[in-house]
Amino acid sequence: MKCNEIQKLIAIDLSGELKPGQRSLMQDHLSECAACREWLAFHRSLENHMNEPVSVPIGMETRVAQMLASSPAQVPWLTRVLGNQTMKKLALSTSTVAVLAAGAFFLLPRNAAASTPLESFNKMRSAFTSAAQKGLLRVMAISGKDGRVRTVTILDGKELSQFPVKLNVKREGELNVVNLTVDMVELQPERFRFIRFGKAVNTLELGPKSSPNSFYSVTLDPKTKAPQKWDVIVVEGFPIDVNQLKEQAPKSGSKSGDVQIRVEGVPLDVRPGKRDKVAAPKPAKDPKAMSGYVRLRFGESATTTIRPKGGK
Amino acid sequence: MQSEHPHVAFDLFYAENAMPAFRFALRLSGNRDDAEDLAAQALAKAYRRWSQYKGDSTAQTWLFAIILNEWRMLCRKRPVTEARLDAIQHLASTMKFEDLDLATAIQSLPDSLREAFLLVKGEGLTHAEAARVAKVPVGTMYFRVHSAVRKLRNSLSAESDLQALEEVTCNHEM
Repeated sequence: MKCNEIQKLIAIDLSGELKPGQRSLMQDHLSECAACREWLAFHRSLENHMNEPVSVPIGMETRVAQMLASSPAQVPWLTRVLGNQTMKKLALSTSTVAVLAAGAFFLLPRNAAASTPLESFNKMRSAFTSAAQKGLLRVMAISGKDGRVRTVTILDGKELSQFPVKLNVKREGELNVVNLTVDMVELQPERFRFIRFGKAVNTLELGPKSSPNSFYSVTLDPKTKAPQKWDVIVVEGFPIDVNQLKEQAPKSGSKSGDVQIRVEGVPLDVRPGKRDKVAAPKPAKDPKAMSGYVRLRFGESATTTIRPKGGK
Repeated sequence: MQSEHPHVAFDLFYAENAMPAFRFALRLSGNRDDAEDLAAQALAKAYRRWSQYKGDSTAQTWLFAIILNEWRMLCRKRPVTEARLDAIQHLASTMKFEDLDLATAIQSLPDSLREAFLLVKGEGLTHAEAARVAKVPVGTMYFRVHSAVRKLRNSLSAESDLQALEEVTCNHEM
């Protein structure tokens, strides 16, 4: 697909409306086209600029209430209630229940099953490890024709395109070996300057101490708390595609070759923070290592399942 | 907000919808007085007519449709022929970093493109939701948003954008 077509798809993808087949084509193109990546970065920068709350005029609420009160004919239930003592008592009791119910709905934390962001965070890490042990963690490696490699983490079918993965490419004989590290130590709570709920439901925002100008926005499955989407939000400047930065050509020149990818993981350490009195969920069995490999020629892509050492 | 709870307390309805309504109205009109008028009228209409909510769109989508319609009616009565500096400043005040260049570029967009941009990029609606608000086919909304972003990109300094990208260093590893 040409750049003009891809750029049309980018806006649609950012609003979550792109079909999977088109998305795959778009991502393949983005892996090799700097101009379109810049276009994507511009889109994200615009969204970042626009996503800002504003202060509502203080008197506006009163004004709206006065508008409602000045047109009772258009609010028949209000007129009926206020004009009838029996109905008023009934309406007060039922409206009280409705207000309490609605209040509970709106005032409850965004994730009722996890009352604090840290609890959600710990559940997310545990769900991630558990999924990996079930063989649901996969890494797709995509090689450009020039040998540059980028990866996409896929957890139970959900693409975590910005999930932090350390990548190192080196040559071993006729193989291009790409080492990826899924380092769960970097996802411990003390590595972040903040862990908070996002503005959208079932989202967490994680601000790594190592990156003061950006944070992760993670969408969680409402039931399992497994991550479904993993984005980087840059506070200043343009968004950085983590996987893009990981692209490295093999050190020795070669126009063709195989790429072997190994992935190693670090055992989880899920513990509640000192100020978090809620007990952390029981952690999944820590995998000693998570590894896998795939042989990849330039210009091709392949996916490997990341399993604990000695797993199935 | 759900149609099966038409009598939800006003204060809860207001708490949920007042800020997005006012922000959208302010970005559309570029004037705080007009924005308050638009938002207040829309909130009152939405609350009054809650029984008409058919459940085929989010409450905020419906609210934005009312604001957009009221704004278009206001424009027909009082056409705006040029971008005013105060409108640009008000628009910039609703954005992070209060970027006047970006606000100027947005304010200079044709009305249809500006509305589309504010709905999708400003308020986070999907193209399908924004199409319902603006009462256009979704394909038209795809085109308008894409065209708006392209015009903004051209309006803003291309050199400064690219320069910022070139200065990015690969330090994002954790």
